[in-house]
Amino acid sequence: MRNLLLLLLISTSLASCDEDFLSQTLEIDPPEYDKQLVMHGFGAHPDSSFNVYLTRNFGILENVPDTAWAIPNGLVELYEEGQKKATLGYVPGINGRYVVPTQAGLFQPGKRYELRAEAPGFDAVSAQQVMPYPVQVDSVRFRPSAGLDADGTKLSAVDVFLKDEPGVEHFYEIRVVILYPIIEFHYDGQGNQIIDTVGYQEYTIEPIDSDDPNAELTFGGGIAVSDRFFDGKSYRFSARIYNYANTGYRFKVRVRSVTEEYFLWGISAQRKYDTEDFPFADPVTTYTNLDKGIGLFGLGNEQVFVVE
Amino acid sequence: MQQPLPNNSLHPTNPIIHSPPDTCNTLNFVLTLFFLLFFHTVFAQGPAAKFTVSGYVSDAASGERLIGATVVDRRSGQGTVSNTYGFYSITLPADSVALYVAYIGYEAQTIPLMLHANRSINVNMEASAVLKEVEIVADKYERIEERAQMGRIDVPIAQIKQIPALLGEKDVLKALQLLPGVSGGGEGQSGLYVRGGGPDQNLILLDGVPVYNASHLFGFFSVFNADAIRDVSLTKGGFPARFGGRLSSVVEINMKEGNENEFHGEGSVGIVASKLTLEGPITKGKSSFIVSGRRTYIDLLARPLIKSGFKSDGSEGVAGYYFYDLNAKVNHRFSDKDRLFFSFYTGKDKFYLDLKDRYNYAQARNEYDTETGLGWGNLTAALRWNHVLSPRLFANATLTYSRYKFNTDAASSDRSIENGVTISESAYSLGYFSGIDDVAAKVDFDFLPNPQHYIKFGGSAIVHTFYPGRFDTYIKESVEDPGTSASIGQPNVTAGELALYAEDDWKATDRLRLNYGIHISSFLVKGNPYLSVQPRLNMRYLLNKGWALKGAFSTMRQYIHLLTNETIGLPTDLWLPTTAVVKPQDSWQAALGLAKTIGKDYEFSAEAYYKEMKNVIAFREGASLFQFDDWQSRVEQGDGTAYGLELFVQKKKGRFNGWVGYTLSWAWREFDNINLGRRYPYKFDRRHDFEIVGSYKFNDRVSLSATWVYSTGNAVTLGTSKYQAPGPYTSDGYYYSYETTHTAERNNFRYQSYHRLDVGVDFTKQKKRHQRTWSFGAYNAYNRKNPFFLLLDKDYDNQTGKQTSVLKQVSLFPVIPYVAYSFKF
Repeated sequence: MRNLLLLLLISTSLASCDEDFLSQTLEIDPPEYDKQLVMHGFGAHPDSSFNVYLTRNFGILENVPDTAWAIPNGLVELYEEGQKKATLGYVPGINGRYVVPTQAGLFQPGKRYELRAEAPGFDAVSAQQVMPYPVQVDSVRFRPSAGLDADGTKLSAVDVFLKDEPGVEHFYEIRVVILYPIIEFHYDGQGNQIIDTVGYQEYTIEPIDSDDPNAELTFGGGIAVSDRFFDGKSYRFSARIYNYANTGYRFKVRVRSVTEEYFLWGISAQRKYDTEDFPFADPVTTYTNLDKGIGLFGLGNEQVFVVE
Repeated sequence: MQQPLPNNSLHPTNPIIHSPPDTCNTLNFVLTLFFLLFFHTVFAQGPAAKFTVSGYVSDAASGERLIGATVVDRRSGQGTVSNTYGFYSITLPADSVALYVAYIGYEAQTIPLMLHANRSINVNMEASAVLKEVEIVADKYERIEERAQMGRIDVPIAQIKQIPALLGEKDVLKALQLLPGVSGGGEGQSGLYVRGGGPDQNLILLDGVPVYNASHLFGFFSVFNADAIRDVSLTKGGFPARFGGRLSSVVEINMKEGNENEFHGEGSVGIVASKLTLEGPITKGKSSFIVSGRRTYIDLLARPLIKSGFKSDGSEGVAGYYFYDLNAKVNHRFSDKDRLFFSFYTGKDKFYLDLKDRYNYAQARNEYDTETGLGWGNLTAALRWNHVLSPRLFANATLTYSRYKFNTDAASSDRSIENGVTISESAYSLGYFSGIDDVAAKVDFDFLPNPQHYIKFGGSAIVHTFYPGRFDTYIKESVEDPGTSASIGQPNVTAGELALYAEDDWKATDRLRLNYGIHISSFLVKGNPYLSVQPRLNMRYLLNKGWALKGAFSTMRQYIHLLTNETIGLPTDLWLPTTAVVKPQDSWQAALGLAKTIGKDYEFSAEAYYKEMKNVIAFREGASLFQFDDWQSRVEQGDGTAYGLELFVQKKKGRFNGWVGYTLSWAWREFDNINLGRRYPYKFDRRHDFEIVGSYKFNDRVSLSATWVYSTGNAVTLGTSKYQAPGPYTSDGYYYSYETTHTAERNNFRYQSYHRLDVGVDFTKQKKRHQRTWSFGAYNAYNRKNPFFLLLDKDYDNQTGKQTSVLKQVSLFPVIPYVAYSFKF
C-alpha cells in the first residue's frame, strides 16, 4: 500500500510539471445567438425630426470592424394609426442612422405609431407605441442646497411640481441640461476688452439621484419615476445634481411623459451601462420592445423649462 | 436473535399540516384542531396501573450521552428513544419488563426488571468492535421505515472524519453537501443550498445557538472543527415544530461534552492548520470539560519571507492571513435530575498588513506608517440547564448569545521630525463595521405520557441587534490639528422574535404514525409586528414487506435576511431584519416518499418534494454588495419554486460504509423587477446531482475512503450577442454609441458539468501511549477542470499582432494532494 501511495504521489508530482495539466483556464464555446436587427428610435413631441439607428448584432467573440455594425440597405418605415407616415432615409455613416424628413407635428399625443424595419438576411422587426399626453407641470424650480452625496459633496436639485392624471398609468422623466455661455472677447478701439455672450452650449448633466426613493436613473442622463406611487396626486419630482449654486449658469429642464417601454428600457440600459465591467454586480437583463429584434422604439411628450 | 417487534414509537419527529398566514381565523382554526387532537389522543388512556422507567443512556467509557438510543420493552414491543441529552422515559403497565437498549456502534443490553414502581435506570453502553454482528442487531429498532419524519439525515461524525477533504481539513458542512438535495456553492465552497433554497435559509445551530457565518477563508473551510463535534444532522423538509426561523434547512451540530472518566486528547498537524483537543473529568463521574483549538499557520511560516521582501523594498512590515477556532464546553451533574452545561465557541479570520517606512530627507526624519486589517468572526455561548421534572417530563432551559461581526480598518500616518521636534504630521483612518448579535432565552420540554406519544413543547425569545454598516473616519492634517472623528452609516436596528411550539410524535396504530405540531412565531421591528402560525405534519404508514410510505407538509417563516454574494463566501455578508418595506420570507413544502431497510443495514429512501417560497430576497438588477447606501433600496423580493426527487442509500456501519445519493431537481425564481418579470432558473438549479461516498476499513491499521460527485453545471448569466447601444436621445439630437452585450434572460447559460473524485487513505498505528494516524489523499484526484467563473478575455497573437476574443472557463483547484498527521491519547 505504501509503495502504491508513493507511486501515486510521484505520478501526481510529475504530471503537475506539465503546464497544461495545472492550467486553470479552458477556452469554451460561446452561447449560440440569433442574427438580429438592432433598432433604436426615440420620438418626442413636439419635435419635427426623428432619428432611428438600425444596426445588427454579432456573436460575443466576433471581431467587428466599426463599419460592420450599420445596416445601410434597410427599409425603415413609420406608421401612424396603421397608415404609413414616412419612409426614413439612410444617412451614410457608421451609426446606421435613418431620418424622417423634417415635418412639424410629427408625433401627436394619443396616436398610435408603429416603427418597422427590414433588411436582407434578417427577420423584419417592429414595435408600436402610443404618444403620451403632456405632463401637467405646475412649476420647475432650482434648489441650490439639496444635501450631500455619499462622499460629502454638496448637491443642488431641480424640483418639478406636477399634477398626475388619476387612473392612467404615467411614467415621467426629467433631464437637466446646463447652458454654458459661449463667450467671445473683443477689443474696442481703446484696447479695452469686451466680453460678449453670443450663445449657449448645452450639456446634459447626469443626475446623482433623487430624494424620491422610487425614482430611477435612466440611460444618458435622465431620472424617471412611475406614478404608481402617487396616482392622481400632485407630486414633487426631484433630480439631485452637483452643486451649481452661485455659478450663475442657467439650466434647461426637459420634463417628459414617456411610454412604459421607454421607461423600462431606460432603466435597464443605465444599469447595464453602470455595471458592464463590474463582475460583482447582479446581472441586468436588457429590455427590448422590438418583435424579433433588439432595441427600442420609444415615445415621449416633452416640455422644456429654463431655470436660473 | 431478536424477535421482530411490532412497530414501536422511536424517533421523535415532526411536522406539518397547512401553511397559511397571519389571520386570526387561521390561528383559531389551527390551534383548535391541534389541541383537540392532542388532548384526545394523549389523555384518552385506560386506567391500568402504569409506571415509568427513565434515565440516561451514556457511553460507558467517556460518559458522553448518547442521542437517539433505542429503548424498547421486548415483551410488549413498546419503545422510545433517548433525546438530545441522552434522557429516555418509557411508561409501561406493571409487569415484568425486558428493557432492550441499543445504539449504533455499541453492545446492546437487555435489562430485565419487575416494574411495580417508577424506576430510574441509567444505562452505560460499551462500544463494540467495528465488525461485531451485535451492531447490526441494534439497528432493527432504528430503521428508517420506523421513523415518521422525512427529510432528516444523520451523518455519524466518524463517517465525516473519514471523508477526504480539501487540504486534509475535515469539514462538516462539505460533508453535508454530499447529501441529496443539498448543493454547495462554487468550487471548494462550504455554503449550503438546500432544495432550491438560498444560503440565508439554513438555520445552523451549534449546541442550539445560531451561527451566522459558517465559513473561513472566503468559504473554503467551515468554522466547525470536526474534532470537537459529537453529532451532525440535517433536516431539509418535514420540519419538526420545534424548529423555525429559516425556510430551507436546519443543521444541528452538537459539541462533545468531554470525557467524564479519563483524560484524553487528540490533535493533528496538516498542511493548512493544526488542531488540539483535550478533554477529561473535572470531578470524576460528575463533571467534565472539553477544549479544542485550531489555527492556520501559513502567516507564521511565511512571515520571515514577507518581512525580508518588505526589507528589500526599504520598509519594515508584516502581512498575512490566519483563522482560528476555539471550542470549549464544561458540564456538571448536580444529581440525576439536574445537569448544567456551558459551551462556548469563538472563531476569527484576519488579514493584516502593517508597514513602516523610515527615511531621512534634508534635516528631517520622516516616518510613514500604514496599517490595514480585515477581520471577521463569530462568538457563541450557551448556558444550559437540564432538569428532570418527573420521570415523564424533561426540561431544558437555555440562555444563548451569538455574535457575528465584520470589520475593516485602514490607517496611515505621516510625520516629519527635525531636531526632535515634529514639524509636520497627518493621519487618516477609515473603519467599517457590520454585524449581528442575538441574546436568547429558550425553554424546551419533553413529555412522554405513554409509549404512544412523545410530546415536545416550549418557547423562545430572541433579541436581535443588527449592525447594517457604519463607517468611522479620523482625519488629522497638521501638528496643530487635534484631529476630527466622524461616524456615518445606517443606524443599528433592534428586533424581537418570539416563538412557541408543540409537537407530538404519535403512534396511532401499528402501521400509522404521525408527527404533528404547530409553531407560532412573531417578530417586532420598529413598531411593525408580524405573526405567523405554522402547522407541521409528518406521517408514516407501514406497507407490506417492510416498505414505509411517508408524507410531510410544513410551513416556515423567516424574519431575517442575508445580503450575500452567491459565488464566493465573502465576509461582507450582511444579516438584516424584516422591516416595514422588506417582508418576511414564507414557504410551504410538501413531500411524499418511500423508505425501507434493504438487507441488514442498507437504508433506502426516495422522496419527492415540492416547495414554494414567498418574499425571497435578491439583489436588484445591477446592485452589488459593495454599495453602502440603504440596503432596502438594493433588494427585490419575489417568489421561488423548487421541486424534485431524491434517492438515497446509506450504510452507516461495518467494514464498508458510506452512501449513494441522487437528486433530480428544478429550482426557479420569479421577481417583478428581475429578468423583466419572467421566471428564470435559480443559479443553483441543478438537474442532476449524484454522489458516492465510501469508506473501507481493511483492518485496524489501514482504511481507504473516496468520494465522487457529479452535478449539472450552475446557471449563469452570459450575454448572447453584442451590439452598439445608443446614447441619449434628446431633442438636440445628441448621440453616441458603445458596444454592449445583449442579455436576454437571467441565468441563460450553463457551466460545464461538475465532477470530482477525492481519495484518501489512513494508516493508523497503536503506539505505546497513543495512537497515530498518517493520512494521505488528493482532492480532485483526476484533475478535472471544474468551472469557477467565466471570463470574456482577449488573446494577442504576438506574431500577427492580431487580437481575438475568447471565452474562458477559469477553474480554481487542480489536483491537490494532502498529508496530515494525527494522534489520540
